[in-house]
Amino acid sequence: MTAVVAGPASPTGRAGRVARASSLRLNPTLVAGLSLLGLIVLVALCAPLITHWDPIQQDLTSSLLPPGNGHLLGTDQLGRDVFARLLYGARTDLRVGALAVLFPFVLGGTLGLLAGWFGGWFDLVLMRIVDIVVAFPFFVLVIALVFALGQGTSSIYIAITLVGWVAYARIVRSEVLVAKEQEYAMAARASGLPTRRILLRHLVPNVLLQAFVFSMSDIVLSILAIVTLGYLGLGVPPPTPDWGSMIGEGQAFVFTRWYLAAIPGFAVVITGLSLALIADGFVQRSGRR
Amino acid sequence: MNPELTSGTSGTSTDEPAGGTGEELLAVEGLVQHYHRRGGAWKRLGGHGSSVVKAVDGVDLSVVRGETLGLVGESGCGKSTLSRCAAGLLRPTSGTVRYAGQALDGPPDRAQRRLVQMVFQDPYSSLNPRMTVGQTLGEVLRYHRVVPRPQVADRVRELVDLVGLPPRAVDQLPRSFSGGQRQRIGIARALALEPQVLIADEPVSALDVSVQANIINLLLDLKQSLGLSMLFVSHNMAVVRQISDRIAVMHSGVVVEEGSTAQVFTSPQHDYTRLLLSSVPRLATRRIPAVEAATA
Amino acid sequence: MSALLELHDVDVEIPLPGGTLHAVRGVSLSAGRGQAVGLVGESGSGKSLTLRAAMDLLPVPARVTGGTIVVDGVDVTGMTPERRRKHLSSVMAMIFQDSLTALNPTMRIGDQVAEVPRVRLGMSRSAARARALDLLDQVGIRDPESRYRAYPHELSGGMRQRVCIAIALSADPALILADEPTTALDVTIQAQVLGVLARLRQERGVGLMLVTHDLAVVSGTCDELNVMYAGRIVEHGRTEVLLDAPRHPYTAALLRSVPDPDQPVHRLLTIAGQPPDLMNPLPGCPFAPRCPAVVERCRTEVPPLLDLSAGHQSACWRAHEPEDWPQAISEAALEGVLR
Repeated sequence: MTAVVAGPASPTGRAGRVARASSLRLNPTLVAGLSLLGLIVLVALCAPLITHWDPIQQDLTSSLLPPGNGHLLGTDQLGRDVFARLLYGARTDLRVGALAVLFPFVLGGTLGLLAGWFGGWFDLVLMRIVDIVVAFPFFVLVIALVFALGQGTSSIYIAITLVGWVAYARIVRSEVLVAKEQEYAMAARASGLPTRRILLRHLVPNVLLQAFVFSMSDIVLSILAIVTLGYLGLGVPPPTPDWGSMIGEGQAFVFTRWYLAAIPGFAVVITGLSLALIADGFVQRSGRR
Repeated sequence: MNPELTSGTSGTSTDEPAGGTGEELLAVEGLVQHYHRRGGAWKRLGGHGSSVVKAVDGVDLSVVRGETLGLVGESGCGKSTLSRCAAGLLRPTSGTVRYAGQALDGPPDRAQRRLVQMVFQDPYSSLNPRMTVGQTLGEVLRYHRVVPRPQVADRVRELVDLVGLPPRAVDQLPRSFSGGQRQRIGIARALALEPQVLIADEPVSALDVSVQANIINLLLDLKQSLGLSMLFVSHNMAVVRQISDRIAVMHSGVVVEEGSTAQVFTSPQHDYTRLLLSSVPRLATRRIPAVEAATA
Repeated sequence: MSALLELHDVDVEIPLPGGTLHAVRGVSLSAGRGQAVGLVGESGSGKSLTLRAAMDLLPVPARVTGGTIVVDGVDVTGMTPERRRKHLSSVMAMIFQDSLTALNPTMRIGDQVAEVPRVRLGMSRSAARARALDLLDQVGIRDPESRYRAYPHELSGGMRQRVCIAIALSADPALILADEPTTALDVTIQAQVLGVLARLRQERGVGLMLVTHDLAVVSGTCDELNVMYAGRIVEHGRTEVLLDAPRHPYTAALLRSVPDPDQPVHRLLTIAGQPPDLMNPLPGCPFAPRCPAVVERCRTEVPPLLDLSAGHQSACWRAHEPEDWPQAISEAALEGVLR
């Protein structure tokens, strides 16, 4: 009879060392994105501390003033302080952008998960509904819905959710189709674990990445969608400040007070950049595995 | 000096002449698995319609207590599909799968799952990348109530030790481990339910040669110490010979030859078996021999 | 026999975010006209990268950072990529593991085989087609006329690999570099493809450098073997000699860890531990942490390839005293595996 079976190697070999080095898994991209977004959120929250001006107070005698005299960025056509509107607008846009993405994410993600896992009739019917919704231009449907529901932030949420869930459903479904054929999903089935457990504990954490990455850019798209709605008088109801309506109103003065439209536009870009960095950072994090 | 280099006395064969007698633990009878392929639009207009892929086309096999049945064949022969049906992961088009004499009706229930467990091929995708070893093993133990809750942690440690991994492996994620180590974890997970039969679907094909030897030795040890019966599926003839008592050769969805390992390897009856054996490259001889070599 | 391909002390490094991976370290080997040379090792040994370095097909960002490469007497190391590619492709050709991705999926296979004759050798369309048909026939594809117009995905794996060999032959190379050409194939198909390569060697004198992890395949195909471990060649010599009397502990252990289809053993020999971290190579012999025959010297000095007999070299300080190695591998070294 032979002696001892060959022992195993240290489980923290080369792979372990690399894992430790990035154990927090915060790569520079992710840090940059989070910091930038954090800064924007901080500024939005601290708006009253940064400026004393009221963003909705009109002063028609001081309309379209250039920067200076206490108005850091001047005033808009109704005499409201632009800088204050910019800061308070961040609150509106961040909130609306996030919520307008969260609902479709949850709705679409859940439907996609179920369709991908169970297949069959449910999948067939759902995908045909997706095809139909996708066939329409996004804005056509959203505008129609907001118009039908009446102007207001809740209408915007409902409309965007009803139209925007399809992208998430597709993304999550295709990820699930791949994941369920992975051997660890099969192993979970072979171990006799209940379906609910497999879906929630095994599949979901592994299929959400793509949908999450998409949602980051979707936030920016939502913010822009609200801009478009604003043009048609269907956006965030005035006088609540939001970057979209600032851009819309500012375009009339682009030759004289170019910054009225450009500065909020720039704010949208910066926000979008921070979200893109976060998304990229997450992708890098998982890719390293 | 590194003490952990080991070998056995060469030449001692594990071939056993007995075959097929004893308590039947796992069996398939008349197993058929067809897949339907939808033909293209032109084909359908021409009346050809969907074509059927007969992955498994009527197979009878059984694994009795204490034996290892090796299932060999090349890609597309249906052995993987068969192993999935036997593991209760795939519902056969027709035919029966029996666990301990009792026919399965749909996916195996909780009690039946305790009888037959599976080890998978790809060590890099057979473990949930986000769960530690302890979580993966613990989940199975808890759900099936293999041991009372307070003892789960201890049992996890025992399992990890059983497959030759150090205790600290319990808190680590799969990515900290090499391919061979991950396979050990996969084996531990299968053993957590204390099955009577282990179905191993190409468990060493994705591993390096020296690591393969490790896992094969582990399976041989477990076979002996736990009295485990096995259905070992592989395309690698040499590995199969090393570990099996009986062999079944599959080709195009059917079993073309079955017998004890010694019989099949030294006096193959079917043409395909002969072809397979003669094609296997051998280390010890310079030419690929036309006739199989005799055992010592 | 004049050497067609010579590698002298070649290093290949891969710069990564976490550091530099020293994938190939000081590798020297050669392949002569009509010879079949094997490069065998497990994953991470650097064998594929060595082959690709010879063919100037290293994947970005890997680079050759040391040593010289001489092809048909010409030192190509310092050449401009353009000139190097021209020279290399006139002497050598390469075939890969995955024949599906090695072929253009949107081009008929006949056209792919005819491409080099047409474009580089300047043949007319009909002459190139005739040559392609001839090559397809030579690699054992029956009825080449009907297969000529097929697309790669319509062929089986074995057929595709034969097509790849035909393409490799179309430039009339003196040496074919093959990177795991049969690993993805069934064993019966593998035997056929290896048979094609063997026949081409016999009939046309085309040399072969074969990279594989499969010891049985390489021992049946090649006259000479190079065993690689952790980026270095640890043993080199004629195949029969290495199989009969391996003189490096890694080779000896490896030979005894491969199961033999003709003779099952009670337990296979195993090698404890894992391949080393090539980002931070330790001083001394790369196999030292896992070697059962290790002594102090092994950990501090890298053994060079020491001559044991004509054409047999081993990079081990204890290569001359296998009888003093621990029992398991001593037995493997002294008995060998040849029957």
